[in-house]
Amino acid sequence: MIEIFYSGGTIIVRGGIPLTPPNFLIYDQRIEAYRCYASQYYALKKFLETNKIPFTENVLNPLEGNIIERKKLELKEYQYEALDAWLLNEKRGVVVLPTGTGKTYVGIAAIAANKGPTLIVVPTLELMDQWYAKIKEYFNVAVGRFGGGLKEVEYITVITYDSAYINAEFLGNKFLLLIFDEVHHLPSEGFRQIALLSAAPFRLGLTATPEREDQMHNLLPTLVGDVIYRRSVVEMKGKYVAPFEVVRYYVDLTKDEAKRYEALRRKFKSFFEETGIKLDSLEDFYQMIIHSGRDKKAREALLAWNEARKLALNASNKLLALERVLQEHKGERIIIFTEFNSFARMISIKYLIPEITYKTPEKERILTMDRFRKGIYKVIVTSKVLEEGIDVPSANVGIILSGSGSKREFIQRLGRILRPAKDKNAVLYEIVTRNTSEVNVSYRRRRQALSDLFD
Amino acid sequence: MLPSNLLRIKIKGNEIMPVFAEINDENLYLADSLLEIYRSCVGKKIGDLEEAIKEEELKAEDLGYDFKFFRGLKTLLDRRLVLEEFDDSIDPIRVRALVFELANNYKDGLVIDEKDRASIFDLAAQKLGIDSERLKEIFLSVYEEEQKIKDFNDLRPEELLRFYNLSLMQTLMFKCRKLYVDVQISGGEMRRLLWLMKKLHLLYLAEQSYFGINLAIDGPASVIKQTERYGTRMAHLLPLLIQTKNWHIRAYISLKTKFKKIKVLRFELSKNYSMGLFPSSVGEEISYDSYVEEEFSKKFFTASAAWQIVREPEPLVVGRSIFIPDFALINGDKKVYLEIMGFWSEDYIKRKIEKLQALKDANLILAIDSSLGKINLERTNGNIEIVLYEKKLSSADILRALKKFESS
Repeated sequence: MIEIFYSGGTIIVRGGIPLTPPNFLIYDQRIEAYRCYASQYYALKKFLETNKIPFTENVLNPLEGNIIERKKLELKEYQYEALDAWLLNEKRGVVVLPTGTGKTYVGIAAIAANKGPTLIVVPTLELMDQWYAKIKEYFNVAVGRFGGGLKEVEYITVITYDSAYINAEFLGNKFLLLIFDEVHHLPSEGFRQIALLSAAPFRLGLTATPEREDQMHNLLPTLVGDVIYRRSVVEMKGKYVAPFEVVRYYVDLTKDEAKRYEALRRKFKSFFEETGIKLDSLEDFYQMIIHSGRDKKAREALLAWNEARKLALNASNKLLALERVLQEHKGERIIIFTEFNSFARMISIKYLIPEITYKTPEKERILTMDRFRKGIYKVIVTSKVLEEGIDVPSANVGIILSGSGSKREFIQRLGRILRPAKDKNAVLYEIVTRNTSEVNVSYRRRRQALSDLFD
Repeated sequence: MLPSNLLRIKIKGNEIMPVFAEINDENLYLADSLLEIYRSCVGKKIGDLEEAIKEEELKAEDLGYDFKFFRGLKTLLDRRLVLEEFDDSIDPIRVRALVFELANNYKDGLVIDEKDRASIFDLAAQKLGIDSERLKEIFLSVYEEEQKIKDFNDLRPEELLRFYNLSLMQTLMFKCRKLYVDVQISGGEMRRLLWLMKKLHLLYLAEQSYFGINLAIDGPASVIKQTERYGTRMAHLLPLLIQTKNWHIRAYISLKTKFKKIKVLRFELSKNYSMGLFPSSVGEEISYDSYVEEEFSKKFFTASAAWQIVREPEPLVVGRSIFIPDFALINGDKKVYLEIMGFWSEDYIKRKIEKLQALKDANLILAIDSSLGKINLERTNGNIEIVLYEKKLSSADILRALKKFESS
């Protein structure tokens, strides 16, 4: 009789198959048997059953436990719709909702409806903590965290993409439901293996922006399922999301800064002129970075470019503008975003505002988020770490001191202050240095974000 | 292993090669000056070390050293630092929380100048009953650059360069899709290699080869689609491989080109072409002998004059997998392998015998402890002799079995 069993993120089929095997089964000479990705589990079973081939199986080895609801989950109308769409689609698929509209609750509802062992995959440690807290709030169940030094595997486990990638073989047959938060990360070359090496039949993806510039979102239907529910920012605006405005402040470089900036600019400009490389696109930039590994001049030009960029992003007059905004919004919940850790650190020490960067110790990070949520801290400063979906309920002012100009980043940072707050207009400040290339970055960023909002 | 961004490679056609550091005066000079900085920073703060390193890097770049080489060495040296542990009588995070909270409630909620800061620190210090200078120190102590260096695990400059070369080659392997190794390897080393591969979830196909054994190594899912998934794990095999008597490795490395296309390049290196590049010893050897085997080895040595006993002889290829017999018994040009099966199940023995039938050119004695249960064995090929024993395997039993091979 044929035996199918799980092995290292794959399924091995031992024993002769009397028919032509389906395409997804590959003969493996090393073990003299057929093999497929664990994610083909149901397709494989279907093939064997429809062809009446008897088999024994030892694929899933789900964790044991149970889920008891602790707190009644109140869903908004659109969250119900999303959940229904997922249930109707054999518990597979991607739900697209704007940031700040409670995607997490759709996930919680899916767990409550499915009631099996669940793996929740998240991009950051903040989101890991946040899901962990939410699960504890709504269920009596064993919950584990996996990532950032923790390695707890429980009936419901919240794990980072990085850890899930590294431990895919080990996790692949222990869960029945996979939830991918910020699922647009999943299709990348490495992370997609989390989905491929898992036998879990049920899958849910959550995101505000499934599309990827490299088009790899086309893989999502095989990895998780089709987009089964989608609402845009425009549809949600005013209804579930606080109205917001964007205010732009320009600052000038100081005399010394301007001088230094010009010198640096000349340096990398002359490099381009000499070598004939144009810096029109990211592709050119990539080329230049490759050059810089071997070519000293290219490296110097790159360093100059970097320093000029840092100078513009971190211009000292930005601090004056920052102080003005802080004064203006005294007592309100404010998050300051910076591009570089060092700038966040500097602001933290200068104004004694708690910082959150990837270097912040876990204990302090949790404490800071908690105190910000409770209002013991009104202002926090952060570098990239908060980029995604972090739950900051009542922040209504955002200040972007610098940014890299990417589209997703901007929307998500915007999303942070889009949280519904009572009678409070949300404001996003952009503080930009005049007469530097940064203005273009900011313009591009805005244009992309706006076209995204209204298309 | 190094962060991938410090990998240095040369590409020629379809060949890829790490840029190894030759053990020459030029490189030894750099290694030496870096080591000097690390030694001199014991007792100082990480921030001081970083400062000194930054200066050295500028100097090194002026002298024409590749900054990736410089930072690679730095990465290895950083791992040899021993940091002082925190004074945990006062939790710095608690101190910081207090400072931030006080600042949050200060006047109109905005601390701007030095005076504001000083009064917050004073107030916090007062609340905790400590000195404000000490409080400031604790406040900053969570930052990495404030940590104190307690000690540094020193090494010689040429050893640093050799470890760098090994790390560099391992870093190249991160993107490896398939690894072929041709090795002349002892039974003990092969046992360790197989154990390591099993632990890392790697699979192989074996073949007799020029040096001894050729292994084609990748992972379970590689057969469905080639992947870099197992590259980092393959990198873990290298320290062991480069210590074998003779080796040749061929690795297929995938590389992203500028248009985001993936190109697969070949990396090849052998022991002869890398003399002196790598450390001579990397880690401790682990012995896997069981008690039964050790006892037997001693007894047999005294019991037999004609037959010599060798433990963990060279590995054999059976089908496409590896078999390492416990012993080789050698008498002139006669060689018989001995495998002692202390623990078994009937299925296991049957499967093993079935596999070993493929071993046509080698003679083998299979010693089975019959006190563990009854077994019915079918007749085996002429080159496999089965000896049943109870609890203790005696030399006489084996010598009797050897007679059969002597006559043939």
